[in-house]
Amino acid sequence: MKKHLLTVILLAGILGIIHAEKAPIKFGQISKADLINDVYAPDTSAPAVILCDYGYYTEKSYQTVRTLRIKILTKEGYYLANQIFSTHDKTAIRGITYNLVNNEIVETRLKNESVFRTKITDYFYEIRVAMPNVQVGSIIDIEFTYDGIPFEWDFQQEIPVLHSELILEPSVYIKFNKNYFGYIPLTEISSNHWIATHVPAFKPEPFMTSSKNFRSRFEFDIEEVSIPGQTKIYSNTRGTYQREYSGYYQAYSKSWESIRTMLLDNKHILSWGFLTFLYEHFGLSLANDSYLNEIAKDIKLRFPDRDERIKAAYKYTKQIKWDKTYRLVAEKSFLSGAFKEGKGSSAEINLALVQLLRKLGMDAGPVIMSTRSNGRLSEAHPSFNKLNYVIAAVFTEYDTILLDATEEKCPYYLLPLRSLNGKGQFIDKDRAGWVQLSTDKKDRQMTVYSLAVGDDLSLKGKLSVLKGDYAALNFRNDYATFNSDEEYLNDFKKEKKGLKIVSHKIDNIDSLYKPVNEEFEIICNHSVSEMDGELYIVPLLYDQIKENPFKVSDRLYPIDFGYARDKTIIVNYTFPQGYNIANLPADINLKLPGNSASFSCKSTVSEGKITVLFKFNINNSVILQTEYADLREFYNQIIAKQAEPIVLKKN
Amino acid sequence: MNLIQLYISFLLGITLVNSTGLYADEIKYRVSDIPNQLLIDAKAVVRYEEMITEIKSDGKLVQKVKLAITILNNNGKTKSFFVHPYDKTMKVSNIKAHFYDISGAEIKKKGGYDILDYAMIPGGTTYSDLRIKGIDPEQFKFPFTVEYTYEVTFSGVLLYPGWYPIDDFNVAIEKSKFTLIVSKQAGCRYYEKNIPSKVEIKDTGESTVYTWALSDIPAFANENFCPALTDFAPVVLLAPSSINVEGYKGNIETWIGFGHWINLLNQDRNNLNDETRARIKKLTDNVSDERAKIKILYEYMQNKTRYVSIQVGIGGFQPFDAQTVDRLSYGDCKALSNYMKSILEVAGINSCYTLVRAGRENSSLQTDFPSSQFNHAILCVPQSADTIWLECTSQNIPFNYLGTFTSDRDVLIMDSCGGKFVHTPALNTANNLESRKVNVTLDQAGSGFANITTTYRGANYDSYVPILMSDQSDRKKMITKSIHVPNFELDNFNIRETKTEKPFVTEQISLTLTSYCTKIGEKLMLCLNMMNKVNESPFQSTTRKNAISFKWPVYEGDTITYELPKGYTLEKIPAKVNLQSDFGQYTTEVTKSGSSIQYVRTFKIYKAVHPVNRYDEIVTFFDKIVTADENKVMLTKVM
Repeated sequence: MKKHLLTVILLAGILGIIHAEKAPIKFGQISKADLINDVYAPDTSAPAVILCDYGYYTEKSYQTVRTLRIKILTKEGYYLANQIFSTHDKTAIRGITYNLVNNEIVETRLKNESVFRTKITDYFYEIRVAMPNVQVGSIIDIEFTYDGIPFEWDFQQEIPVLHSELILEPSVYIKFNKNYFGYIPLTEISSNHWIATHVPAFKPEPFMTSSKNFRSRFEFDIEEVSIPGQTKIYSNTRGTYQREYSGYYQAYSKSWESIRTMLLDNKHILSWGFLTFLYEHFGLSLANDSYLNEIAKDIKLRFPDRDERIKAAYKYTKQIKWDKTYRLVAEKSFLSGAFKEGKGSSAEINLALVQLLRKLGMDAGPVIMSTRSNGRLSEAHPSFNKLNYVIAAVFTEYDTILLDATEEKCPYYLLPLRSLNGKGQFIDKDRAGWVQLSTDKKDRQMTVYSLAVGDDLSLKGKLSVLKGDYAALNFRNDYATFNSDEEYLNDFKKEKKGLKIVSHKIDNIDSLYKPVNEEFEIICNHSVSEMDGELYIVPLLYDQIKENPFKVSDRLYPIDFGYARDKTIIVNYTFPQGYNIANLPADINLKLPGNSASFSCKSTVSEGKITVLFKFNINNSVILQTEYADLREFYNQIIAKQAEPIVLKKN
Repeated sequence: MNLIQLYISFLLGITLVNSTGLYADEIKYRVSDIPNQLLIDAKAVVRYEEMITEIKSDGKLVQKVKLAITILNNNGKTKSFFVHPYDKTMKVSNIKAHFYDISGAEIKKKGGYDILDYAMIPGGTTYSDLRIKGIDPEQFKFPFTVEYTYEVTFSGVLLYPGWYPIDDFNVAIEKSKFTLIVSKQAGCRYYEKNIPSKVEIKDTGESTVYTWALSDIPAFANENFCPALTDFAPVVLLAPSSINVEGYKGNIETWIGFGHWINLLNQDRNNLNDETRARIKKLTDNVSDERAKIKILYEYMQNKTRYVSIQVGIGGFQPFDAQTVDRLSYGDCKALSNYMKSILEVAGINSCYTLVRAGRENSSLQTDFPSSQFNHAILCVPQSADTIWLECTSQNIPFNYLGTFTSDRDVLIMDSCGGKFVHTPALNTANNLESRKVNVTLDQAGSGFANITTTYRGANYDSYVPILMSDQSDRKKMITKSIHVPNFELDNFNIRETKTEKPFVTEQISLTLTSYCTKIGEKLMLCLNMMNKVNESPFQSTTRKNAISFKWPVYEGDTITYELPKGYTLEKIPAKVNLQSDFGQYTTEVTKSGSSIQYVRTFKIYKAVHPVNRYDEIVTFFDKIVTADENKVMLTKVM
């Protein structure tokens, strides 16, 4: 069949819309040409394309109508005929499937039998829709009506979008704030009307922070809600719904200042729904701190030194085990309860830490923030909804120390990866400001092999591995997932061909302030090969990088390692008498532009002994997509270098 | 058959109880009381389990459960959650939880408002009316012990829940007891497997009481190529003798009876209307060959429908009728199989609705115990030679191809005589061949180009399906990631699927290789196996507890021709490798012709289960393969 192209007609249509300012689509009115077209030219292998995604908020009815038109291009696109909408129960939905039969448009309407509402909580429903009679070539129209404005609008989706448009009528009820993410240019028709066209499918990449930072989309934040004389329901991004009272007025994300006031203000004792209830607790939970008097006194007595005091406070707070929930505000207004229960959210733990640090006379306060998986906070656009976490900060004459006591196996000066995300906002009664959520701590690792080449071509000797900071944290967490040391060693032996472990010892696994040290006695078989009377040893043994982690040739988004890496490997070989060195890997020193990563290899020889020193550093935790080709080549050269063997020749 | 699947998974995955009184001052469940041998490989230890199942005279079933389990570390955490599905016919009540610390002192209680309640819609399912009652322990300090007590009342029972005391690897059992009380008026059958002690049977006059007990069972370690846990864990299955669901009555003591009951549920579900029948008839009007007809109709069904799982009430067992599927163009496995059966009927072709325990792990079902043990439905079209099997839930799977999801197992086919078992075709070693031809040209720097053509069949074809289903940019990424050559650039690729009854994919790729050979002075070191090195043995452990089960055969055949760089030669041809064993075989051979060398490799693993006493031999066999796959040759300059 001849492939027709969708673009021509649609482009014409779009131009018309921009000028005329009329709806780009109307539910239930499709063109036959769209049904005939069976390929999307800019992405010919796309399983389906969103012809139009159109949202319109009407002030008068306080409702948003979303009209979604999808063209199914292949069988792989059938999954798009099943849609899930998260909403509240008042949502109305209609749908039609269009097919071309004998050159006639045939409509199949969505009926109740194919719409399933599932109550998740009292205010939160999921509506699942299975569109009827969907074939390759079908067009699906779905119209979805709900109260309030959307929490977010995705201009970019997992399939290509031909046209996405959003209009929000100016509202006297809601003042909102929007944050734009992504790389796709939008056309701004006016301050409340946006269009994106020909948006390619979004594909996540490895080593990237939250895809929320890169997918082109809006996030909306309520600045203010003021509804005269009427009960209304609206939603926030957590999917919870709040009933507002007559004439009620509350400022939300108008400015960072208003967010700060709201969080720290203790005056509202009555609660107006879920959010208000929580604001009070932030301030209150910070205020009620007399339960810590005794322990603070004790710490002060025992530790004169500031760092020691921080360490002790951090350790004490860790009695509250993290329940793995990410929270900005504590659910309890008395955090002593969290100590009693021995568990708590990120907010309960870190606010308790702030309390204790303050009791110890330190200049400490909370830093409100968004975690790595939740996407970055925008400095320009205050956003209450984006905040999902809080950590503690201590200010000293010289520096700022950031603390997050949720991670069981962290020392106090290490922030877990989830807390390393752009900037956070420090808030205090009389101060506020941005704090960089980054670290100068690294993934540090030093590996030393001391091996003797035996007559049977085995290598016998010692291996020691020293891991510090992030390497130690990751190791401690990883080691805890094994049910026994034997299980760990079986895992350790993976991809280490011919390795026999004679003995193994771990030091400092529970001493969080010391590097973890592992000592092995090992025998390596199959690591030395003999060809034509010559012995070949690949010096790096099990630490050789064999494949490029960046095999894929294209990159659209930055590579984010989270923190820097510093890896040193020293290999000492003692070889038997009667052999001479026929080949040694040549010394090399590689650097990425700007020294964002480096690699070096250096060999030294003394009587009967070879030492090879490898150093590998990633100095910048973020490498831009424009440097991707360099990074890829950097790894290629490392791989080639590491494959070079030592060759020993018999005299 | 998603409901059944749910039942099975909950029966296998749930922790159970009774409501005997608690004495506040009594120290129970001290962690130090656990015998040492139960701590080996354990993430959790069942301290005490008592399940009392009573089947009353009206066929209703009441289960009273008490379960105390000590969670030793974070890995065992999932065992501490209480999760139980419920619906109109299954009520969960009196849920209580008590938590104890390491010393056995009670630390908290949960129940009442702490009980969570939410909809249970598993991934891949559009709708199900099952809901869940649950308790989240919210306990983060290990070890701790949780004791659950609860009751479940089943009315209108489709299935009787059995006893699965060991439902996971790395869980040991201190004490576990199952009491079954069956009213003499009720019909109940049981089936026991892998239980070390004998059942105790008592007659109380009105009912028969059966008791099974286990104690001090160490945890099973999960090992590579381990048989399915259900194959060796103790279990008691229960099933009613007769069944009556919304008026659909049947005696299911035999598979024949079970089949009749399924037939009853499916009766008159072939209600295609005249218009649809006419449309279908037209498709095969001019075709005389029956196999060709079936193929046309199957592909028609594939193009017309998609798989959507909706499980409501008896719909968990009974398919949507055929005309509804025709109108909506979707259905679940039951509905689509019934629809296909109805289509074939219009063309005068007889077929049988078939129930399967599907899954790549191919865990066995108890063919000597008639009961509902299935989670999927397919269609069997009997032929005088070469019976046809149709998987109706996939829009892409080839005609008469079952793949690893349903092949090589006993399935229950329904015909007018009821139900009977038939074995689906196996993917034998030859059907699983992954064959590859590679042409490499090398230059004097050790770099070069490679053209690679690979054919994927059987299980390898199944594994390739995700790539087939992706768009062009994802295909490129997925193929790139599947290549394990040190430095390369994927220049081109081309994929062709041949959708016959023995389908295969032909993949052609071309690579630019950088420094494929390592330069050592004047010489070049060449690693012979470029594409599919066995990098590590799956058998790392020095000890082995379970049998070794190879569920799918492996068969790889590679021929690589290296065109040597100008001025280079291979002086010494390496010796052949020839490893033959009961587990499989591995051979390599290098030959030289003119300026090129050829490397030929075959690798087979046979489908079999090997006893644990052959473990050392298997380790040696794999170690030798890993070593041989690393073999290198030295290319030298021609003087």
